[in-house]
Amino acid sequence: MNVLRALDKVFPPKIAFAHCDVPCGIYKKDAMVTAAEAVVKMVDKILNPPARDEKNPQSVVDFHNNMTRFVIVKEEEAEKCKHEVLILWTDFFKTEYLESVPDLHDKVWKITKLCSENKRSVNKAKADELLRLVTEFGEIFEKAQKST
Amino acid sequence: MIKLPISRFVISEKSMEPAFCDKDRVLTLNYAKLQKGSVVTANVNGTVMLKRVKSLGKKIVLHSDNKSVAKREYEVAPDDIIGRVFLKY
Repeated sequence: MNVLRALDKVFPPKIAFAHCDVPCGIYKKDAMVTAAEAVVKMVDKILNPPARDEKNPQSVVDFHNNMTRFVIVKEEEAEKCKHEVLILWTDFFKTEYLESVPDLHDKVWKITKLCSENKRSVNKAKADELLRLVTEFGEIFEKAQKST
Repeated sequence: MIKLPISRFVISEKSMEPAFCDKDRVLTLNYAKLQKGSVVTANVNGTVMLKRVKSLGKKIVLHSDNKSVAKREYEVAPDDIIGRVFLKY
């Protein structure tokens, strides 16, 4: 194998494309915004839990089931939001965008930190802040996309 | 045009994951017999592509492993097949 790799360095192999149906290079802000909205929605649901009848065992079970689902979805959507933001940051934004958005790295750092904080806690202010920053990041992305 | 018996390729993109990932390298046997399921390199509309044989006949139908990103099938003539992958390195 090492011989083949060494040969490749001298005579590079041809490229064989394993093309995807959707050409790479398509970027959208929708996924990260939807994920942030879902985090806000789940925090609302956890902070305003469904009613439960302590005397009714089924009602208690349903309550815990629903609350668990809200927490799981919050966790998943916060992670998805972080992932989508990082994709735009690493794959879409080029160095030249830093001239028009000098605090781009700082914004991404804040958003991804907020995603983690929203996973760790149930905090309405932090969820709203995440949605606000993601929406703002989406607008910056759209502006950059139009300028290319 | 005479084909060499063996060719080397580097893979670009993800439609053949998990068996073949971006930047993997493969060797092809260019006079090997094909069968359903063989992984081949082929000329598809002027582009060299890595795909799996779905069916053989007058036309060879190629498809991708990673259906989550690539569901499209390609029909090529036998002459468009470059070779069958026999080694990943």
